Amino acid sequence: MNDSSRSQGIAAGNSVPLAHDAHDCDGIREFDNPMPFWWSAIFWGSIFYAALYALYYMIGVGPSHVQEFDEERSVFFQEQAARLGDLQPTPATISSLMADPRMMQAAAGMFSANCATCHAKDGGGGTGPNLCDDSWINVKVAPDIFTVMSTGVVSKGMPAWDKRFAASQRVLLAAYVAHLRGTVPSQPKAAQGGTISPWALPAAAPLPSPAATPAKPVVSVVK
Amino acid sequence: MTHSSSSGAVLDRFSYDDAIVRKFVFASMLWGVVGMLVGVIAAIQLTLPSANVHEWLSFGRLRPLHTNAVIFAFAGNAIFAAVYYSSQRLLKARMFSDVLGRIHFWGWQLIIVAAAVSLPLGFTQGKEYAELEWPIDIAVVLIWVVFAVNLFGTIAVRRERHLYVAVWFYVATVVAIAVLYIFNNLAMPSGWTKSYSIYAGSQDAFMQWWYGHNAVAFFLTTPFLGLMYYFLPKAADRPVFSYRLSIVHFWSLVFLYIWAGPHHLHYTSIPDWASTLGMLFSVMLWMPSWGGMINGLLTLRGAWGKVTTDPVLKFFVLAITFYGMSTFEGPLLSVKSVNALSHYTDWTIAHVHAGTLGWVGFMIFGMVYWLAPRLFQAPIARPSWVTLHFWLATIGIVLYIIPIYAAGLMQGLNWRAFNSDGVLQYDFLTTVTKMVPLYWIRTVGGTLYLVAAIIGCINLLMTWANRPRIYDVPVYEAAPLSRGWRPPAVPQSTLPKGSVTDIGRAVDRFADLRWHRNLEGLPLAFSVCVAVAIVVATLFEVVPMFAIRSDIPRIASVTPLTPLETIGRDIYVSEGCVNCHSQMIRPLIAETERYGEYSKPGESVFDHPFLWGSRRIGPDLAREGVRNPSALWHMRHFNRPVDTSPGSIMPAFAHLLDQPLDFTAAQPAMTALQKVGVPYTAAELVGAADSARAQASRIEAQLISENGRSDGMQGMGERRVIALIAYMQRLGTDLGKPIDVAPAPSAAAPMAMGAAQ
Repeated sequence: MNDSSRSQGIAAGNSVPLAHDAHDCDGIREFDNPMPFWWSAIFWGSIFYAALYALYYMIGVGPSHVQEFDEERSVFFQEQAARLGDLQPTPATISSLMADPRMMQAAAGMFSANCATCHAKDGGGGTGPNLCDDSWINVKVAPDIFTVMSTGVVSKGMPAWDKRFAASQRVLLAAYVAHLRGTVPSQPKAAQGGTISPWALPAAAPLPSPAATPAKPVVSVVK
Repeated sequence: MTHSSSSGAVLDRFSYDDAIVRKFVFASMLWGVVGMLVGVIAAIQLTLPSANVHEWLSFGRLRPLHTNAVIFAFAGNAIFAAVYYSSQRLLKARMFSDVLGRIHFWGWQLIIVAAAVSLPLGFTQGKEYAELEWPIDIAVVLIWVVFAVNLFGTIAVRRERHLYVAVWFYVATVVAIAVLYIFNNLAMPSGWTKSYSIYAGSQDAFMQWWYGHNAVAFFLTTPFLGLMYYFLPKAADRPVFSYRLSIVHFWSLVFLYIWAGPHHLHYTSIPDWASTLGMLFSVMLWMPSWGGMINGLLTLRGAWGKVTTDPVLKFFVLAITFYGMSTFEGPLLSVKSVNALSHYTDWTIAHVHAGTLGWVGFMIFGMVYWLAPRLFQAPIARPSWVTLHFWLATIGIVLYIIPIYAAGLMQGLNWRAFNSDGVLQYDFLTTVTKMVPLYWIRTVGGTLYLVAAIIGCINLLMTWANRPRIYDVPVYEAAPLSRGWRPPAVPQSTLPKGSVTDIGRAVDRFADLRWHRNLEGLPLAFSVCVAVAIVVATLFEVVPMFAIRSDIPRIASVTPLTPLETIGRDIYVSEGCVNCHSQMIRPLIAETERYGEYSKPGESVFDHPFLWGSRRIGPDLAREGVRNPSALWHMRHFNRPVDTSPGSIMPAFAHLLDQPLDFTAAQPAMTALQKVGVPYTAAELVGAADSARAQASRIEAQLISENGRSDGMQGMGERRVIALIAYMQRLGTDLGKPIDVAPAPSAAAPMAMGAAQ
């Protein structure tokens, strides 16, 4: 059967020749229509696409998943560092961060994603202590928050966050925690530890412009 | 039984065994309702955690029961009904053995009952759709062999020379499922109810999704295409659209499907090449799948008027349309960048349910309604109910999939959303609680589908009640096949000699597909070709997966779990935690920011089975030990998840705080694990129980210290929860661990990262 008779068959609908004579599949018959053109075109097209893709990625020209990721993460960290600058856990820096609503908002996201599990979203405490009252366990002055956060208190279930967050991020988060003190949580946990004196931080000065500090990737990765 | 016809030719007289078909139809409907009911209960549990009323009936155990019941019981029995009914007629022969048919039927039902009992009890291998423990696996294989012997036996005694396309698909199903099921389920038992996959980590993940994907291919696709090729032209009374399309799409489907499994593992700790092959073969599968859809829909040309009046055809048309949509969506989801968004989300759940409720379910219902008057020799008792079933179920599907697609997209987008400060915008719990209204709509949709199925069952029973006292069993006559048949020569190319090269003429002759007609007359050769297609495609991926050691660089600091952690991991598997929690952080910024450093292949080399998961109803746990080492938090969380995570939909596991821990369970577990390659020393095995006790009391001390008081904590070191806490505290911590400078000689450590020795 040649192509012209096949296309005539399609046009004529019912008069398409059957695929084979004298074949009785319980009364089921089969036409011998050709594959639709678009079907064959997409089928061969997908094979062609697959061949090109495989050539590019599988013979080593295209980047691997991890190479792509490393590049993305490096850019991400650079942006993050540029945003925060090189922050030190000093009372002055903490005070400035606490006075910056934008910075506190950024830190709130980090807190709710990483700390709220134990300390509750509003800092009222849960498995971990209440961060809103005046009773603290391992903290005397605001920069101590940075230290506790960095090294953890493993015996009490508090992980060390120095491998998860860059130093500048931990400074920001410490400022956020310092800022929680004095707020009123919905379900405050009973006081733990001793009462400490107020933070006694210097007046907030504007933060050094991030542009002034050279942006460098902050590698907070577990190697 | 032969006699001479008037023309003198010797004719066989035979009848068909429809009793076995009736059995399978009833079993399919019964288990279908059970499986869907369990699905509805599981859906309710995701909206109301208090619906997890008992440890045997918690989500983590019901979800596998739901999937196994609808796949192997509902779809499985329907496949057997279709095969037994249509093969006899297409091959003009009674089934090879009535006895084998009965063994097949009752054996399969026993397996289902065993699954329905063992899964709620927590006996599971922890691999999706392969949960059943090893004694049941052996029964499945034996019964499958019975089925295979019965089908191939019938083919051997057939009175029709050429196999029709439906039978090709049945053959592919029988061969492929046998290979897939056996090789994915190879496991080392540690007792009658517990075993450990012989594969670990990346390799186990690869094997599982080679199986899992092809269970979809060869259990939910090929048999239903076979079913379609028989029942659709019968119901429509129209010839199949294109014989040559059948040939091309059958072989391309059989060959290409096998490769596509790794698309379930994009960006995980499998090698890039496997992921790339998984994606590309899925993309190439689009048209072979649509070949089936076209052949279905275009067969209805000239019969569309019938579709408006015949509910059977309505079911078939909607089923085939859903097949087309799902097999477009499948390749789409397998594209890596799409998968980066969709993986772990409800999008997968929506995709699966479009395929199963739409394609598989509606093909089954269409077939059953077509079969019922023929099997029970009485008209359908309530014809209007069939249309009601159709519309209720259709609305049910729509109400199911639309909110779940929305949920999937929301999860994918919310999980990766950063605010302008470069901080993740949503904490995980928020992305869970937002879903609850959508989950309610889904529950309504699923319930409608279930109610429709129950209406169908009642209608079926009423039809059955109208059956004649004795079924009429028609006797057919046909000539036996002549012995020593030789296929005729394949006609030469019609291209004139000299107009093209000889190779061109050979290609033309091949493309004309006349040779395939001969193959259809040679079932043994045909089956061997199917087996070769499947096995060759498999080996192309499996051999490098197991041979290229540098694909899975060992990490010196990764060591096997302690005895207590091993018990904890067994509890994790048994409670079905893997159904909601992944343990695989992908190298994507949104994931490393949320969960920590991405998972490395070397981290799961001792994981028998792998527990990477496929869905994040809860958060990833790959770095749980790093993120949250608090013993007290975990204990409170297991006891009552909302205490630590308000709005959580996780079931409570309070029973773990009450039940005593059997410390002696560590040794048999570790012995079995050692046999599959986990480097435990003899001393570690002997001292397992003591070591577990010591670690348990350390964690109890931690609980008391964290709590500040001992009340409520004293004695927790003797409860099962302590093992699970130990496992949680260990997860993901090996990567940063200092390396033991003098590892034991048998330890797996000495290989440096990334380099062989």
